Amino acid sequence: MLHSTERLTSALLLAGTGFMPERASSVAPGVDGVFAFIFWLSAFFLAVIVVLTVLFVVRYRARPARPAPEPSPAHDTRLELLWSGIPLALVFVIFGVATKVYLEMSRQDAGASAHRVQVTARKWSWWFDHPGGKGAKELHLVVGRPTELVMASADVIHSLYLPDFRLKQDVVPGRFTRMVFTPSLAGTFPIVCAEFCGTNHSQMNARAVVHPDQASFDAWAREGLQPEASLVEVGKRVFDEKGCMTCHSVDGSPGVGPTARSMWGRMEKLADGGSVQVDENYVRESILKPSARVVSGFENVMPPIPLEEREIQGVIAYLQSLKEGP
Amino acid sequence: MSTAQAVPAAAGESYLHHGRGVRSWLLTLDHKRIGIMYLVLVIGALFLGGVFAMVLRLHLWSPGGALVSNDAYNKLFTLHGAVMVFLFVIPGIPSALGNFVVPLQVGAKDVAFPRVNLLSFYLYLAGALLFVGALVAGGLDTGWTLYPPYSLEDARGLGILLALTGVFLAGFSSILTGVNFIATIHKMRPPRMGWFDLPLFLWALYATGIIQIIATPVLGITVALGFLERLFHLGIFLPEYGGDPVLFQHFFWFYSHPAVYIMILPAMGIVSEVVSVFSRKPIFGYRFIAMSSIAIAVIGFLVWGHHMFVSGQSRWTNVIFSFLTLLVAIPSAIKTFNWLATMYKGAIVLKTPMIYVLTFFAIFGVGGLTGLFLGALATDVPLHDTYFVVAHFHFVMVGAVVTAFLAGLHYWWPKMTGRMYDERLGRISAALVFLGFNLTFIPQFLAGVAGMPRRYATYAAAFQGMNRLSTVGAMVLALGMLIAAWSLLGSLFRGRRAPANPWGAASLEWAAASPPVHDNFESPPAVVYAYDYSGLELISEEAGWARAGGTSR
Amino acid sequence: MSAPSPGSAPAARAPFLAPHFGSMGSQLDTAKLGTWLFLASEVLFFGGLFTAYAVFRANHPDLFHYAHHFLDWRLGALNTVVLIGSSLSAAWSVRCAQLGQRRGLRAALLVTLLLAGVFMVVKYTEYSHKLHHGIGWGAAYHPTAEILESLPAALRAVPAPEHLGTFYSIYFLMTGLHGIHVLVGMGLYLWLLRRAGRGDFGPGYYVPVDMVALYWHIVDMIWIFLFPLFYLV
Repeated sequence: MLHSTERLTSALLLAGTGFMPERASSVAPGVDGVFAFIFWLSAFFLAVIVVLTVLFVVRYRARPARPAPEPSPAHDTRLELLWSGIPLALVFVIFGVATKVYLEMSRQDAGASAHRVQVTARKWSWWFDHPGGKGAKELHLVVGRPTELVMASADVIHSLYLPDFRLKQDVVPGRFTRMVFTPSLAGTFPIVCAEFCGTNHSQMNARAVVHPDQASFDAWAREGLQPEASLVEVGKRVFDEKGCMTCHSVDGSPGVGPTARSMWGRMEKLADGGSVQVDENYVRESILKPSARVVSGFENVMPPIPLEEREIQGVIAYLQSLKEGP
Repeated sequence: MSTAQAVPAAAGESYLHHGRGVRSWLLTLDHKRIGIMYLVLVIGALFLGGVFAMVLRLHLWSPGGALVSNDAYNKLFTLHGAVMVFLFVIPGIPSALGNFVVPLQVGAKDVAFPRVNLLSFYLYLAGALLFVGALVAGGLDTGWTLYPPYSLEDARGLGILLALTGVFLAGFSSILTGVNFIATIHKMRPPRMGWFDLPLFLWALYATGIIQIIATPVLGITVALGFLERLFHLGIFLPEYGGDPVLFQHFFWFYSHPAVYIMILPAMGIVSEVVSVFSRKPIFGYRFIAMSSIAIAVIGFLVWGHHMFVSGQSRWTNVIFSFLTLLVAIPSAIKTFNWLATMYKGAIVLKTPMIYVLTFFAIFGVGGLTGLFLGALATDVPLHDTYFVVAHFHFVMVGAVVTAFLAGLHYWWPKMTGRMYDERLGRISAALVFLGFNLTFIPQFLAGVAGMPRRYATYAAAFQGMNRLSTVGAMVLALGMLIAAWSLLGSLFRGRRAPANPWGAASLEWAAASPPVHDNFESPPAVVYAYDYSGLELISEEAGWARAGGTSR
Repeated sequence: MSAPSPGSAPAARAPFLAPHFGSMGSQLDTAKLGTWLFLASEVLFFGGLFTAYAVFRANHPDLFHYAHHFLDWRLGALNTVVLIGSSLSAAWSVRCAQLGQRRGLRAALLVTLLLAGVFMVVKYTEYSHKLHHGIGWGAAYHPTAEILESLPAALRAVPAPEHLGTFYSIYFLMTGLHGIHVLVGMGLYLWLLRRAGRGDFGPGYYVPVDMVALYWHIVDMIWIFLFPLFYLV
């Protein structure tokens, strides 16, 4: 019974939801089933409306041979109650099936052994702190393992959208929001921001990497934890992972903020009329308190980035390396 | 009354010639002239919003963006949305067409409060000017939904303050229009005109008025709070001062969802008029249609939470809002089937207004039915804030409302101007608008299902095909609209003179001359049921229709 | 609502009957309906702020309990009595107009105007006292040591809750918006006084007196809700 329902569903999906991305979470098949149900119901009613419209226009068009309407009732309460009642009944059905799946999607409890990831959204990048302490700009998950994302925003409202998982949740500053689900397919899937958040909203992307087993995840989680070889590498990693590059290009092209290429040592004119040379102290201040001294010609939009001391030193070393050229 | 109004009108002198000069228009208390002034501004807003839309579509021709920077794109879509919603769709049918038609349809000389009506016009004008000011002051890039904290960050400059004030004034204008229409429909009817004799357009505007009066003040206080929060950091919406950004969303949608019904109800009213007149048959199931308007207005107040299914509000709140939202399907279905039943066994005349209405059935069908996907929780979660939503609300707010607006504009054009438009051009424009519209927005449904979020200045290469189809469609749609504008404007110079009743309609506006005299009716019109076509006969194309023997009930 | 200025209407008609109405009765009815609809809108306008109040009070009851100690309930009560009195005189003015008692009408209008003035003076005292002591809205909440001294000892012993300014944002917003409505009402009563002095009103025409009184009652009603919500938490 269940098997045949599934086959029927997938047959319908080919016609109705062929544009849907892959189904990579345990709730995705349920969502697609609801989608297909509403799709075919809607297709039927749309067909009724269009066919009747065309039919009536052809059949009852005013012609010299047929100048006046034929007698017909001005209302028919039973008929009207019928076409109020049928939609009402169908609405109950839609509500029932959709809510059943939704309650599964919006589960709050991932269980004691859940894979817990702390998500931080900021303009315009994502940051994921994984179990075991590894942070990354990619989200790493394990097939079949119940997962809980606890999400916070450093600035404005963002929305974590995983199209292949059929899941989405706003990330609101000043509070935590949660997403609980179970990945069902190994692979790499896009993560996008679905709530408008400013200049680079459309480039606030990341990837979800679903590992085929726990061992694979553990291997990944360990590999990043060795100390880095040099400060320049630390800085390059920070620049990449914290999303600095979204605004400060490293190739000299213009962006939301001044380009990082040849930034080191430059005399910058400030928005308040003064000027400053880009040195260790100015870089530190600009990372921790970006709005203190803004370079003229740029918006005061950078959020504070709370870096650790070694990371700040790394960024300074990286900026110096950019100045000297690759 | 101003002195210009006190001079009794010479018999037969149309409202267009009653008083000359710019002052006689700018200070007029005549609902017809106020309606025409609204019409000019509203169409100006449609044109401006349309130009923004074309730039957006051309930009999206290639995945990396073809024309403008991300910031410019964000400003363009914000202004496109804000101008279209606040300056075109919301006031479009009620303020422009409604102002002209409502007193005529109730057989009155004017609306209940003519001076309030003029005040309402100037509030709208001031709001519109502030929007232009926001554009000049560097624009704003918050989206028309103005969600904080983004919209109230210090980096948002003067633009947001001007825009918030503009929304406040336009909202106040909308409230006063609603008060005026409800009072007019209640109190200005001739004694023998019962509630169920009224044209359904009036029922629709009555329901609209309820929403305008109850929902719009909440928008007013919301934008006022936003304004003060931005200036003084009150700590109501901004989390860093202790505020709650989601509270703004509740306030905003408490107005802005019912606002969708401010847009669609008058459109449905026009459809009810046109489908009956051009089927030459009384509307089928008058009471069900009238009551479904009221039902939509009432249910419309209880569904705002469906814009916030993924905002973090509690899941059981979501479940309740989902159920209430889906209930809107029922009055919508009633109307649709009653319109179709009106055509059954009729004598259908395919003039331009009717062609627009026939396309309305299909477009509203798609717009309404895709609403089911967004009202149902399981499917809304992935589809929320994707192009599926964009396509859905454009089907309702553009497809259905603009189509009905154009139907109404062509239908009442002879009454407003005294000229007949070119029927051939009208039909071509209707067909192009329909084709272009579908080509623009059907691919957007597919992009949304495939996972393309809205408000994206750049997009993944996989969506390119759909976006290009959409851009081509937008050009066809623009061409259709331009042809409609050309045909209507041309009729002012070349059109033949319109008879009083060119369509054979039974409602009272057609008992007035085309264009009507200053006081609307030279003698009190005979009151009949608005859809009683008995005795109406076509004298000739030039002389139009007249009721044999001048019978009344 | 749409009363024309004298002398512009055709001679055969009543002087204040607008040309698009058939009779004074229908004009009065229509004006009443319009006013009620507008007042419904006003109530919803305040409704947004009442909702904000309810949301913040439900989420931060401690904040409301703490912050209201800076408000003097005696001044609030005084203003409540003043406004109720002005509502009475407003109602009296309508009756005088209907009965054609011109002197009584002028007196009632004047009393209403004066009581509204008293209300605003008390409100001004309250506002200036608070702002002087740094009790401002939102980010502008920086109470002086002096005013903190005036708190009950039990309250001083515990640390103050965060974001107290939000309470005062709501306080200033609601009482401020109400105050603006009182000022508008004072303007309307000035206008009525002028017209009453000219002898415009009588049993045949009292629409403006009636409509302004309706407005005034609503403004009073709103204060009657504000008083306990802020002063008597």
